[in-house]
Amino acid sequence: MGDITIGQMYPASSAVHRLDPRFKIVFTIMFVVMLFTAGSALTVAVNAAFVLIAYTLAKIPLKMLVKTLRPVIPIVVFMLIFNVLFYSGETVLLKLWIFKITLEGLKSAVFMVFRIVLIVAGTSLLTYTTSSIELTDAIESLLSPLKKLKFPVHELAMMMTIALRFIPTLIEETQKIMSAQKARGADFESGNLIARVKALLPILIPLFISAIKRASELATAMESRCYHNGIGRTRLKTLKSGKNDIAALMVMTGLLALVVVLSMFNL
Amino acid sequence: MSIIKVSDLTYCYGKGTPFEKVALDNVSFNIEKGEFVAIIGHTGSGKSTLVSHLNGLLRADSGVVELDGENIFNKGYDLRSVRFRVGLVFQYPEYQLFEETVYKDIAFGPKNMGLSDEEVRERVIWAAKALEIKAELLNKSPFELSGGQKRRVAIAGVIAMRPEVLVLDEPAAGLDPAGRDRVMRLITDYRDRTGSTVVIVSHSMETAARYADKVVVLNNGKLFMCGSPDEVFSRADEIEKIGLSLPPVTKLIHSLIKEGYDLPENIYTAHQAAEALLSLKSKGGER
Amino acid sequence: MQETLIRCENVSFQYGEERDNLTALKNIDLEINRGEFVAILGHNGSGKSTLAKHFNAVLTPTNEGRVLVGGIDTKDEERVFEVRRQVGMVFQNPDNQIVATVVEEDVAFAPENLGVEPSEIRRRVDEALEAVGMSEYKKHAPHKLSGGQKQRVAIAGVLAMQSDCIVLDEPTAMLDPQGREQVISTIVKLAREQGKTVVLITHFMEEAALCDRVIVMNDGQILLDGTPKEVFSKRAELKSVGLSVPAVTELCAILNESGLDISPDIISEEECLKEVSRVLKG
Repeated sequence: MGDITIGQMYPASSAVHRLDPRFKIVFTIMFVVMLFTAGSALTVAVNAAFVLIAYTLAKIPLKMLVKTLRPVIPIVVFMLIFNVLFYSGETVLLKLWIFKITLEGLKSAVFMVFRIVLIVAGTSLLTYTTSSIELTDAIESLLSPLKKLKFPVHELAMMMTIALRFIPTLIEETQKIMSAQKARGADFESGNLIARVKALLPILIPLFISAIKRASELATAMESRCYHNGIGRTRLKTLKSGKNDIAALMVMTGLLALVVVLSMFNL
Repeated sequence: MSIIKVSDLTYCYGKGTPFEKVALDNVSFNIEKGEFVAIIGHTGSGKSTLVSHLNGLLRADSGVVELDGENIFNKGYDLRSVRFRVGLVFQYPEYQLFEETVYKDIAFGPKNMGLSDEEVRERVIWAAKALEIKAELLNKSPFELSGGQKRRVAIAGVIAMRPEVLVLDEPAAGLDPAGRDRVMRLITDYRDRTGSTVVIVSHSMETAARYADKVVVLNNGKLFMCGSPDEVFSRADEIEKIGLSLPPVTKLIHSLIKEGYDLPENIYTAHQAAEALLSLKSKGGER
Repeated sequence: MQETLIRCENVSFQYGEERDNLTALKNIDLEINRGEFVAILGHNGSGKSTLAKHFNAVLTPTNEGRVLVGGIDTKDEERVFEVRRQVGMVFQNPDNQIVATVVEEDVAFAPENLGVEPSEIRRRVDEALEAVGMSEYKKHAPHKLSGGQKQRVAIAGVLAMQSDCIVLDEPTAMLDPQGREQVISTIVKLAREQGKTVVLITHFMEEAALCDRVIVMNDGQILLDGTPKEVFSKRAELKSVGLSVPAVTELCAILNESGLDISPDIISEEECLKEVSRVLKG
């Protein structure tokens, strides 16, 4: 319960937390580009070092990182096995029935694992150091040129905020409903696929009904607090960029350039 | 004979992670056949975690839950059968309703037991009657009902499984005074009629005092007290120290006892208090 | 001093259109004065929540009746935000009224909507959190707070709007005793120390006993309206509509009926102890 860390901010007072969220979004995109440009041990190591330093600067304990990575372990394991078994390489290390394990396959698998771990770790840093409101404000601000094209930027941002706010609440609710139906003998584990999908109805129906009820109550509460589609709205925290943001941008650009250059020389 | 025997139960949330939290710490107590037990404690005391062990929804890290002398955590023990024998009604159970009709919703548990349609029908009607759900409501959608009606339908859905032990987590929470009284009256009636064992989880010492034969008080995951209401209430000071409040009338009587008046400690309702005060007055009200 | 803040004139309200058995309010006339601390009691379905939603124009009368808040007709769509700013609402389910993922940003929600200057929002948010004793949690995620704490955040959200009046719709119904205690003492403080107009809808008699005035609703109508002592002295009438009286009131009433010289309109535990001690000594 409440174990879900994705999308939740880790409250701390650090230089990373104080960066302009718009810059942080841009940095995250730069990081993803940087990670996918990296094709060698050296460049992946640069990315890994970047993530570790960023976590240290953000004062986020490594155990948080461990917790974030736990849900992706199955994916990692799957990718690992898949790459090891099916990568066609030259240097055969071991032959197992129709599979052969090659050095190239192993390498590719290790790279894959690093990439997945780093991408999850790196992008999670954005949500750890940025409250969802800052995040949505930043997205709203970055997308604001689209307002001229009648694109509902504010509404989109509000939707994201509410979704993020209610994810933990609805997860808890799902667990409660599941326990309640189990207590009445519901069986989610046995039977064929159709039987199992059917067995989900006693969870899905109450969950939807409750979500709809919550939505209507929330709408009333928002109306009661004078919400009217973002017209004339001000913000508690106005987005301001400063020296630190520019400095971080320089560092980030430098790193990206480094990785790009290194990759060009196949290093 | 004990129908449920809990020994040295320990349970941690998030075991093996840096966020480990001990929810139950070496809890032991017995529930006798036909007994009315109240489990009391404030939020986070571990009472909801405890009851989820009684029907095997949670598995203890260590310790034993025996149902009729057999450890339900033993290998090969059919945990699903435990859910039918120990019926658990969660807090705000109306959130579990999902069927098109009240009838079908109450039938969900009995159907899962694999009973014949005829038996299911008989049980649904019996359970609906026990919870004073009128026959004409059975074909309505549960979502059209009032809050109090939904609550009763949800409880009927568990009672219809005819559990040997009925466990209810805060069955009256959020209801208005008439609704609260009605639900509690129906539960006690059910128990009187069937002689089944009932366990109620509550924040309220008042509920414990009025209905229970045995009170189990939890604090920070540990068993704090266990005994008859009279035994437990004679230690009122300790109960208040862990943040549980006594019924207002009990508080009043205890204040008077401290002032030196000769009054019994086990007074929980206005009527009991009035009786005690009148009899004291007639004796001359000597200090 | 007796300035009317909320005035209901012949207010009726009907949910849906064709089925008249859903009439939730029937010709309500009511005035709530500035600075009053009012409880509204009634069983589920008595119309008390429907009435409360009329106080800030979430609902408006379905007949020709009207509700005036600070002189503004709630049917006037142009001025609906003036009404909502004046009368803040706190609802029963603490989870379904918190919009943001950080406490202070949720408290800022209303002033943001009203277009208040950022520095002024900051000041109001800090002040509001201080008033409900939640300052140390301002950076926390709301879903990790206890029910009582969530409700105090919701109250802070209303305070930051600088409302004259706070309407609370069963704010303690879903809370444990500790949460209830926290929320009630916060409400009492706002009413008594900050002079806010407070309308508390509840079905806990002990909470109603703390107010200056108790209104009892039944079947969409006002059944009783008076001081707590006046209302709670009508034990039989309250019981007939599914309500009760505080336990100590019940005790004193029984003793009084049994011939003891004890006043039957006791509503607080302290008063009761004093009275009973006096009678025992006498």
